[in-house]
Amino acid sequence: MTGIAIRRPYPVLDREGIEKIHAAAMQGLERVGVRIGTARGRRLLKEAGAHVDGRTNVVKFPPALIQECVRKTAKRVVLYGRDSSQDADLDLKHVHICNDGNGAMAIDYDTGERRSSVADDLMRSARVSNALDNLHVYWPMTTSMDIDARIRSLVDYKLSFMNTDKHVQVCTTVSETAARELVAMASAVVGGEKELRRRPIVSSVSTTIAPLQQEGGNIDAALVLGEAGVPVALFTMPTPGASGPVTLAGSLTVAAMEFLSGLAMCQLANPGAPVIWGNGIAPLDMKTTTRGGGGPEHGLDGAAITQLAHHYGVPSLCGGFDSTASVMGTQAAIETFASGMSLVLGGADLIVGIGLIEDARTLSLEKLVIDDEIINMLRRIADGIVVNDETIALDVIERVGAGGTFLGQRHTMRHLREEHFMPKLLDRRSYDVWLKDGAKSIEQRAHAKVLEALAEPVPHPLEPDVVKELDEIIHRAARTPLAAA
Amino acid sequence: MQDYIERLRKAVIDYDMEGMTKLAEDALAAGLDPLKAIEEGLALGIRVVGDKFGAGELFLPELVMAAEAMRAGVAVFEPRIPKGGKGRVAPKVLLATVQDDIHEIGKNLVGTMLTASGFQVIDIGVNQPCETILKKAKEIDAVVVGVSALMTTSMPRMKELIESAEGRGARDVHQFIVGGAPVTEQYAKDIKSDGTAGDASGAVKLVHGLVGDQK
Ligand code: B12
Repeated sequence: MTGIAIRRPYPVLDREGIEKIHAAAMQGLERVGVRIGTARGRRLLKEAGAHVDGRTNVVKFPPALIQECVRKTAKRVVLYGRDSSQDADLDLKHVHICNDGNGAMAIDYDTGERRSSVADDLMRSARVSNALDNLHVYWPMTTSMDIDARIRSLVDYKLSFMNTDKHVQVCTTVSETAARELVAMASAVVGGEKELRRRPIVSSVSTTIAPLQQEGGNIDAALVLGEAGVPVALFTMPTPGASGPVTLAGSLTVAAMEFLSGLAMCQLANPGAPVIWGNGIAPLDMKTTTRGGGGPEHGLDGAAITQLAHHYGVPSLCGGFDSTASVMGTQAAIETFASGMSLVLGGADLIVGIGLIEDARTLSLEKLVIDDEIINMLRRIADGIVVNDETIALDVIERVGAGGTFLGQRHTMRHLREEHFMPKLLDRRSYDVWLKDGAKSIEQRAHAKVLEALAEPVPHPLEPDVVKELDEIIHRAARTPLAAA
Repeated sequence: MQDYIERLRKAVIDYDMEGMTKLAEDALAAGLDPLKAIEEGLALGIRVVGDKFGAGELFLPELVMAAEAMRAGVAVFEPRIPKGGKGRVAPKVLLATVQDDIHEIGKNLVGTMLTASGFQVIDIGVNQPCETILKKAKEIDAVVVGVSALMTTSMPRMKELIESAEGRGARDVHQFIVGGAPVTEQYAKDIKSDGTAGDASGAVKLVHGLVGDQK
């Protein structure tokens, strides 16, 4: 089992706030409704008593239907690793970390050049991820621009399986066909669909379209995945002020309506299917018109989504540790810390976002390593202060007395490792020592760790016959157009 | 009459979305030339707002509301421009997101900024096949066709668009510009488009550069 234990999450919403947003979402679902872009979804909802407007495809939901669907939802979602030591049990008590994914650009780790991402970038990102302290679930970090678009995501899955033994979560199943291809590939890796259902080593993210729309292909894919036992994250991301109210409480309400409407379809099609509530509520910078994924709001509202998700008994997947900076450096670090902190403190079940800059666009392997250190620091903050006789240590204080030292006390060593954050990448040496040692920046030190990580072997590599089977699936896909399939 | 032109300009600058329709109707009733109302009143107003936004003095919602006020005015004036006579001179820009892609926030911002810079923007929405885009471009006689793609998997549609424009002799009729997060200068060049821009104000500069002499 992996994950960071959270002693006592720091609440962003109080009880009353949760109840109010829930009540508003239920009213909104009944009065305003959500546009459902899939005929299958509309049919399921109509049969279950929802009102479907045949002209606009807007569906209005009776509260009882939503409540029943929430009750049906799986109460425990485990993101299984290819190796069981990597299982991420989203038990609502641990924080798990996942890297950001699908960047179309990469900073070349060797030359420092910013360029289109290629298959090698994806492999390297997985191998560096394997070396991190706090990386529990893997998203294919880049898309392989050197591979034909029809099979690109399939090649990305294959390379992910080949280079990490962690659970792989993807966000590229935008049609039934794409979903079936993912199921086929994951089944090939674990030895069949039955085994995949028992230990799904993949999960998928389906986004809604704010405000209040469910995209047809995404939901059709989610229903196929649910049938195969593959967990689905319904990722809601109204942009406050643009595709949602500027007030975070308002955008949370829109997100709740979108999530609950998607959850209803998942449960009606496959009762008990594992569902996760995803959050990407980040502001649009109203002056530059870029997305502020590294804004403090992004983490704050993710912590709120976590509370709301737990209210329904489902885990959360929150965007965070993001940065809109164009290069790795001070701004990127500040944004990463600001958008990630509330999430770790708030006990988000899975946080996605480390390792890309330019708002989920460009891979920086050094950022992966630096973000890992940020998380080490946040772990310490989240761990809080334990108060009991042993930690108050009045007996030790008495022994040392006025003017003495605690350095030589056994009590100090007994608790040092859990009480003090231990830097692995930050440099706390004095100026002279640092200078003599080459005056290296944190990015340079991170780069050295990247090289170390790349030299390590892949844990639990795939068997050659499995790789062959994956290649056959890819070859078959290459011959079928996506639309016709 | 000059007074009405001044008031229309101000109504856009103050984003008076609610009062615009009545003001426009009053102006028409008082005998204001609808073409003059658009070009000297509304369009000049939105230009001021666009410049201020570009200079970082205004926030995006202010720009969008001003464009909304302008739209309300144009809706009243445009049908009253005498047919057959001189029409609006603002060059037409057609916008769309390519097929298989539903990302629209960036495209919409480009549209808002182009409107605010005095262009006539016709936005046909997301997930649009090349066929539809080219048909529409012909129908409205678009000077510039701008397409957006946010996913690496939908990007090839841009190349497809330009190739099929070539195939049917439309390549030299319109200028084709491309954009969206994964689109690079190099890609824009490789697919033989007329250019790209990384953000909405860059898109305005780009379009200005392309139609410079026509405006
Ligand atoms: C918001 C968002 C969404 C929203 C879109 C809401 C909407 N109504 O538009 C939703 C949630 C619906 C969504 C859905 C999906 N998304 Co999305 N999304 C994003 C996100 C986070 C931000 C995009 C955005 O709006 N940015 C803000 C705007 C202002 O910027 P912009 O679009 O780049 O536009 C500016 C410039 O590019 C330029 N520009 C844009 N168009 C044009 C056109 C011309 C002619 C010119 C000159 C300039 C220009 O000017 C604009 C203004 O400054 C991006 C990540 C990112 N940072 O890009 C992912 C991202 C684009 N999405 C991604 C994915 C994978 C998806 C999904 C497939 C996920 C899923 N499984 O459901 C679906 C797609 C479904 C489909 N068939 O299209 C990936 C794409 C991966 C890849 N490498 O191809 C990205 C990169 C995220 C990631 N790293 O995983 N998404």
